[in-house]
Order: sequence, then C-alpha cells, then structure tokens
Amino acid sequence: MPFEPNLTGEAYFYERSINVLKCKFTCKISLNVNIFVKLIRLTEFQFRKVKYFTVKFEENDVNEFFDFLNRMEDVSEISEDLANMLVWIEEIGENYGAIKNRYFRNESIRADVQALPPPRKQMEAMEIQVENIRLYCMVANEHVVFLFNGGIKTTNNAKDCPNVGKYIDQANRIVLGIDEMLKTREIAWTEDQTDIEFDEDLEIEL
Amino acid sequence: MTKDKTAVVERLKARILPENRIFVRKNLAISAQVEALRKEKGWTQKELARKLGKTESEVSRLLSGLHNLTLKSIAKLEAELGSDIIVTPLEAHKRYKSTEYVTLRIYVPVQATRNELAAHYVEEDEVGFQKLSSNIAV
Repeated sequence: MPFEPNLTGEAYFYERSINVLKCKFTCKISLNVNIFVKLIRLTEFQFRKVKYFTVKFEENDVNEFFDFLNRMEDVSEISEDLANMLVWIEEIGENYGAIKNRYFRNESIRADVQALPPPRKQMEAMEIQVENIRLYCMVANEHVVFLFNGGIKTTNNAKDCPNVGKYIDQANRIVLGIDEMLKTREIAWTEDQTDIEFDEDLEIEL
Repeated sequence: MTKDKTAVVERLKARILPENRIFVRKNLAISAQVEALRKEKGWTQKELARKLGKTESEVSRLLSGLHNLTLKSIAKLEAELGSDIIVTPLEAHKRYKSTEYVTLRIYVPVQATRNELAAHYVEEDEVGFQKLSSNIAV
C-alpha cells in the first residue's frame, strides 16, 4: 500500500498481515535564529538638542544608517532630497528637538487600518520622508533618536514596496529590542534624559 | 577604486549647497510659526486640518520641514490662521518703523532691581519694552 504523508508530516501505516511497511517521514523544520545588533552612537550627529544613534548588524561592514546613505549616495535623481534630509537632521538636532508628531510620521508604518495603535508607553517605528525617500527611525524622546535604514518608495503602500517594506519590518523589530533594553536599563537614560548610556559591547536581540 | 563606506557622511555633507540649508531652515521656521499660531488660536491639529480641507496626515507632511511648500499653500494657511506667516524684511521695516514709543518716568525705591521694575510693565512689543525700561529714572 502506498505511503502518503500529509502536510503535518504524519504518516499512515498500512499494515498487512505479514509485512509492516516502513515509511519515511518528511517534515519541515523551521529555525528561529536569534539576530543581534549593536548600538552605535553617530558621532557626526551629536547636536545641542538631539543625539542620534543607529544600529549595526554583526555581519554587515557598516551600520544601518550608513548603509542607507551609501545606497542613496549614487542615485542622482534624489541627490538634492538627500542633501535636504541631512540638513533637516542637523537642524532638528541643533535647533528644534525631535518632536514626534510634528516632524516624524508613522502613517505608512501603521498603514493597516485594522491595526490598533500600540499601548501608550510602547515605542513605535517612525519615518522621515522627503519626496519618495523613506528613512525609518525611533524617536525615544525629544533628545534621542535612532536612525535605521530605508530607501526609495515605489508603491503607494510603503509596506508593499520591495525597496522599503523590509526596512519597516526591520525597524519595528529593532524598536521592540531597544524599548526592552530601555525598560531593563541596559540602555540607561542620563539624569536629564537628554542622552543615553550603554556598554559599547551591548547587543540587542531581535 | 572602492569608496570608503564609513566616509559617506563627509562626502554627502560636501555636496550640501547653501540653497539646501536655506530651504530647510525656512521650511522649519514656517512650520514653527504655524504651530505657534495654531496654539494661539487653541486649535487641535485635527481642527487645523479640517479648516484647510486636508487630512491630518497631509498637514503633517506639509509642515514636516521637508515638503516643498507652495506660496499658494502658505497663503491658504495665512488666510485660515488670520495672521502672517511670512513677512519680508522690507515689510517688517515698514511695520516696526511706524511703531510709536512712549516714555514714562516712574520713581521707585533705590533697592528695586531691574527685574522688579520690569514686573510693573505690561508691554507686547519687546523692543518697545526695552526702550521704556531704559528711560526709567531711579
């Protein structure tokens, strides 16, 4: 009698009076590999009102924000927009502060209208938008911002875009990791909450 | 030659032109001005959006400091807020030049500090206030 395994990997044994059929199990094994990132202080982006940080995946040769800049650098069509974005990061940092709902947006990150907003105290990924460029980030408070990665959006819904969709998911995961570290004080606020302190070997699990 | 990925910030900063800085600075200044006027009127962000005939998301993008605002958009904002957002130096000079200063003389105990003197004055125009305080005879 033929062996027919079903999708869960179970096999049905059809036993004859004399012979026991040996069946081969095949099953899917999914591996959950833990990913770690290191927190990096962006020394070129430490301003009077905002300190900027980013993260670096172990296997990458540069941090996420630099990876974004390197990929955008050679796209001539967005050269002016990229320059404006860098000036904006500087101006917000030096003169205005990272006021979340005024300067940072999350509408496309929460594009799923069924999704409820996160609980009040939970952090969420935000985006910096210049024309079609999207840079995802986390605004911890008015003085501390984490810049991640992004790209050039080519679809109406950013989550569906092959260029930026994966960076939204990535940003959301990193935000959860950083938020957890802030709660456990492995990333600690300074007394006046204008900066953070952390061990340079600190790894955030995603 | 492979470029140094870690030096990308220096390369990009070298490309920034004066007009990039002017664009962003003025854009953010406009955003800050709109925010101040909105609060003065006691409107929520939702109310401002409704008066402009836009969604909150659209207004948020307009005032992010990176959107290329048109003069038409600024005119619409000024009309709804009932106040100037942009004033040229020439216009500002005409307005402040016509401000009248009135000097008052008051006599106070010599122990009074400058701050205590200032507390007695209610003056909307900061320049006018300074002018007044310099004419106080103690």
